[in-house]
Amino acid sequence: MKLIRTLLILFCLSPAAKCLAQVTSLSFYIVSDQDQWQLFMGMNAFRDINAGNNHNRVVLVYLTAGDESCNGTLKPEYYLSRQEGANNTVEFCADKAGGHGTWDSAIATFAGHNILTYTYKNSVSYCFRLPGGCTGPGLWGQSLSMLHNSLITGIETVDSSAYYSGWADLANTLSLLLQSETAANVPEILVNIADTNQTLNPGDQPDHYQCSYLALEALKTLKGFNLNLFRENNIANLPPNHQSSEIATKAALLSILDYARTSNGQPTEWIPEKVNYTSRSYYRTLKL
Amino acid sequence: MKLKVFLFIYILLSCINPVRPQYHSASFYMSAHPDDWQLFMGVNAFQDIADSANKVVIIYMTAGDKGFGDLPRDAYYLARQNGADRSVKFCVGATGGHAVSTCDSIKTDGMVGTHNILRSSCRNVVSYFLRLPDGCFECCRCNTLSKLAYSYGYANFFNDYKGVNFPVSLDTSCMLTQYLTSELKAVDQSTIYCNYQDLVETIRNIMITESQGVDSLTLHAPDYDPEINPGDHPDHVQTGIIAGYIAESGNPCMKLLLHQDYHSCSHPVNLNTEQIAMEAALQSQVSFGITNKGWDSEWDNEVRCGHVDWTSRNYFREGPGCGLLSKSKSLKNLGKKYPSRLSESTDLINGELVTLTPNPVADIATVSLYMAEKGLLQIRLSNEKGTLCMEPIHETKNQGLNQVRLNVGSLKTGLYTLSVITPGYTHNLKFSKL
Repeated sequence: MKLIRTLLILFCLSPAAKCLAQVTSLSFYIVSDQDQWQLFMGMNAFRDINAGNNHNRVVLVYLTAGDESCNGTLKPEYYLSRQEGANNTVEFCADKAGGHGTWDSAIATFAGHNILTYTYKNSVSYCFRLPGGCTGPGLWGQSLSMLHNSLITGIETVDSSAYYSGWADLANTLSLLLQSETAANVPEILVNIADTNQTLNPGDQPDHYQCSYLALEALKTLKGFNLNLFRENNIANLPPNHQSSEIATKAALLSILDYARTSNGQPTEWIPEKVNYTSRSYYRTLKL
Repeated sequence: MKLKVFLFIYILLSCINPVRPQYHSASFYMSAHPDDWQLFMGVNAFQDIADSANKVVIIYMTAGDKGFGDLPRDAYYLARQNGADRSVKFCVGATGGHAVSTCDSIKTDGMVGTHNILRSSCRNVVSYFLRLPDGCFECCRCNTLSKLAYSYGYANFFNDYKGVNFPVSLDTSCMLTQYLTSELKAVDQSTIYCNYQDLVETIRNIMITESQGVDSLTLHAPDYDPEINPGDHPDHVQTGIIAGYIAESGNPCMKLLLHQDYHSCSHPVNLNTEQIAMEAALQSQVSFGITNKGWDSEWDNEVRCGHVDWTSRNYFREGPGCGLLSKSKSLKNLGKKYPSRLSESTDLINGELVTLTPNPVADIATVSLYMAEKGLLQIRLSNEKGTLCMEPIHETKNQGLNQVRLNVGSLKTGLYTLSVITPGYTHNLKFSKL
């Protein structure tokens, strides 16, 4: 009996026990670009990630590589610097409490598609690396909009790690990913995406809308999710609604993003338009 | 026709003359710790760095080791330096419109005097890391900036910084018994400042060296006035005092801007969105540079007056820099209000303020000094044997900053002693005649 009790205590103190700890809160951020959640959903994500414990899990899904190739030449150093910046913002939020952690990288497979993942503390990032960042055709004449509108039959990732044979294939892959992350029967699940209502959220980047359409489709058969729908580019026309500490936090995220770009020889994104976003966030919550 | 030819040649020469000063102005930031300029002077620094015709020189006084020195937690101050470097590089990248240019780090190795100081250069930003021991609030350690300053009589503001915002465990007896030193060693043991004046003159040399060919200079530093900036860290105060001495001496001639530090969070938010974003951006780089090396975050906003609170406030005033002696409260007046050891034992505060530039001197040198009150000033030059060679000044001078031009061209090459004699006080200074 004593032996069993001792073993039980040792197990509870072990890393394995931590992994199995009950996740009570799960937040998904399903975005197109590497700077999207920081600019428009920054305060929510900052709070979710820096909760700093395994009871609060954060899943970040980046659908595009943010390559902005726009039917031109792919510049790996550009999209890689953006991903580095995105990862660093996760680290910045997560390290606010609980000390520095260790990054892990792996390949996850859903419906036969390989997806690069990065794990840091209580967060995991999925990088689909589809062509993105353009208003028209992207790399190799592909884009999410074109796929959704059946103008192309499939879409290949910028690093050729996966090929999705149509919108349904892509939505199914995302759905399987969401299911795999929610298998632990988490009581509270929140999905954060750009608002698809173009009256409330006019003028957004096409990939951002498509990303949300895809998320909504992937969620169709799933239950227990709540949605936060964020207004994006148009918030520049709305009154500031953040306190100084919130402005500071969003500016911090933009700063961390920007450092990864400029230190890798890429153009800055510390521009008035984006700095302006730091003073406001607008979203509505829907229960599915 | 002649006029046309003359104009043509003039225009041609103007066009082909490539010799233009690289910078029209320079801004110095004296930062006691690796995160001070970002938190308390961030908007000014950001805007100064954005101006590519302006040179920004950041002088980090302490290593920011929080009293641990180089052992056993040597990595801590390097992590803070990493954060400081990141904040500079971010600003250079964000204001340059494109990639960060190559940044390098070297040891000064004679550039600014005898001390070897780490000097980093990144586009229009130069950083000096003096790496003096960080005299933190909680510990009573020997060999700190405050201790060195106190031993020379410049740090008796201590009681004014006690218990306002921070619980201070240092007591007066500790200050009196342990805060006395005659030298200060960098935490990486790269150099030793043999006295307070050595440190002050090294900083002055940095400023003179870095401002060559520049028209206007501005110096940003912590406000040393405890009535305006109460509750500040002793190292901030000492940094402000050194800045004040140099600025008031007029050598080099600088506009002095004195910033409130910790105390600023007791004031209302006074920065707009863009400005808060600037300071927050800098501080986030500081914090990331620290956490990325395994140390605790500096992004705290749960408590009042946490780091994040400071990013929304920036309060400063113009201090008594060059040409402003009569308009603002000077260090000398503060010295009277808070008597220092030096001013108790003598009636002059100018003992440590006598400077001679350049040194070595070829023909013409300038002596700068303070007169606590109007009186007779004598300046004598003696050779190595102590023989009086000349007495170029013997006249009554007014109270305040005085600058005297000396022509020593007639002296033979060698080592000399310059004696500044005022009523009740004599100060000797060695110099070399070329």
